[in-house]
Amino acid sequence: MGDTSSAASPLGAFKDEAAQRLGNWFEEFVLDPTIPPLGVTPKDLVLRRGKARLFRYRPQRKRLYPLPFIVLSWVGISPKYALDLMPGNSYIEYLVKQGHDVYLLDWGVPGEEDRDFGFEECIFDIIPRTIERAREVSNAEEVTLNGVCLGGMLSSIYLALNPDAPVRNHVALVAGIDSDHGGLFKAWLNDFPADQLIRVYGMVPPHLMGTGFKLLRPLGDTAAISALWFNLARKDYITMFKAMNRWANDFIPMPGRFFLQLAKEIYAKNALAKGDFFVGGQRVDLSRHTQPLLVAAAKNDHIVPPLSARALLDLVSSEDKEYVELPGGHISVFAGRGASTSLWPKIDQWVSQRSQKASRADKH
Amino acid sequence: MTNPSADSNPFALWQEWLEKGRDFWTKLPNEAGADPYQMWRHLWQAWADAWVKFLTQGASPELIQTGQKLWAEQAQAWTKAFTLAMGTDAVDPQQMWRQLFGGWSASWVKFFTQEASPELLETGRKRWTEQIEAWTRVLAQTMGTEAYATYLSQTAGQGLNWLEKFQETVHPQMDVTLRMLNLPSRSQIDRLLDQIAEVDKRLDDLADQNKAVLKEKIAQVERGLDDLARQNQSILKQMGLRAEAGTAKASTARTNRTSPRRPTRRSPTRSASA
Repeated sequence: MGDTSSAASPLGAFKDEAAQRLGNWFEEFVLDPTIPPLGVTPKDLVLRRGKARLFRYRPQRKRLYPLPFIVLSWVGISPKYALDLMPGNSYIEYLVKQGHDVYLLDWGVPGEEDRDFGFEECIFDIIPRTIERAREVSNAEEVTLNGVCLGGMLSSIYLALNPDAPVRNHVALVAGIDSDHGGLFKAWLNDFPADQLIRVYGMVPPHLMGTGFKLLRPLGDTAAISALWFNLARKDYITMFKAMNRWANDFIPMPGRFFLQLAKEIYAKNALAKGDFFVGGQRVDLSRHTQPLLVAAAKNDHIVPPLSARALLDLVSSEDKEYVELPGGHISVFAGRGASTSLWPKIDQWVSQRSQKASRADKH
Repeated sequence: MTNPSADSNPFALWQEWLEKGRDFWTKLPNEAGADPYQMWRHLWQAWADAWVKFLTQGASPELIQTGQKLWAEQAQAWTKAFTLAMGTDAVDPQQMWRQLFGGWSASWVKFFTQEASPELLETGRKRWTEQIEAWTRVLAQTMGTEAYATYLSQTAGQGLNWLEKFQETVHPQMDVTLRMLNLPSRSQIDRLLDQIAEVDKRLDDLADQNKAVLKEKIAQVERGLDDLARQNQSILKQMGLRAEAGTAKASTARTNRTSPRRPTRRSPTRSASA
């Protein structure tokens, strides 16, 4: 038989690669199928309110900026370790290493007992306490607020209702505002029996949450497995796959009243973008938002299409505002390789430029 | 329907099925002619009622056979409704999917056996990825239609209706049974969770009140200390004036005492020692 080593023929190269793939598959999925540790950047708990937890991340270098950087995560849906996925691929770790004083607000895992938890609790109770506590712990006058996904919607609503809040900068990552461009969720939630769902379950249970998100891309799992197959020769890819696959299939409930407000008001009626959304009897007027604003969206985001996120720029009164769009999907913005080389440095640069000037109050 | 072949485009078959499907959901035959979903609602209702009755009838030796019979009857009813909805020709949906995937797999066989390419695997991988993306777009297009959204809402509504009725029927019975066995029932656990949530909230409120009270106390103490400091300063000022006068006298006295004392103290000693 001829020489079939890789140096001699393509068949040899194919044979070598096939052997490596098989070896990697056996090692990573049979011998040691454990998932790498997730959400490991060291942190301390600084505030508890109900199930919400505020964490402060320990510095990994000298803190360069006086403003606490508060990351407001999404309510329900999935665990928040996606924001701190793995060492070397973590949005929070990146910010900490750039010298920011990073906090994360994790809303916790809701249950049926949280059926009455809604936007009011978020806007009038937990977010103000979070800001106050961060200022107290860091001895700071103002903060930077970074809302991610639903957290970005909440931070926008909060700033619209509290324009004088001690928030110097606002970053909204893949935050859906205009649901007329809300994609498939808009189409499905228009006439969805949301009241009945909450009557039966008290919340959106994890299995239905998962079904809804998987339906957005029915071939998503097939595509992921295919990509894994094509990249089985790369161990770093397999590690990342395990981490992302774990998160992509890990769903948590959404509180009942929160879902009703989201589905019936924000998605079905597009009340937030139209200025008809009320929280605690107060109308949310996004034009009262005046803080410097950075909006980031993803071009192929099927959960929050770019136009839905971009709409925030046109609704606020901020003079200092900017929009960036990344290639990739929803998750790529805070857990993707591309984001770590383009978006995260952009956020770091944008926030740091606005964190060293005199406080906003002094300017007026 | 077209027969599958290596050159058949699976998306053409999909388009054909999509159009047929649109008719399927919007032009359902019914007696009244006014509500196209009436037949489906009746079918769902009958299905739900039959299963609730089956599950609540209690144990019997023929339970399994009854269940199997019910399943078979319902499968027939659904198939009949489906073929009736599709039109006068009886259509086997499985045949449609077989044709769709038949064409798709035939095209892949052709690719691997007839396409000459030095980078066969890489080309194949690219083609596979493109097909996944194409299918994703087609599916997203289908699922974004109003007809699909309506179907989804109605299906979800019917399912939730059934679940609600099932809960209303089964929960009280389960509750009674568990209490009889001295095991915690769902309603008891629900009440407990509500109480825990209430206690948690009260603790948070108490912590807030304590913090507010502590802040006020600290502020009071600080105000008190400030007052004390001011008083001290004024006292010191007053003392300072007397002290200044006293100091002047005292220093003068000291000077008077010191000057003669020193030479008096030292000289005799030194004179004595010397």
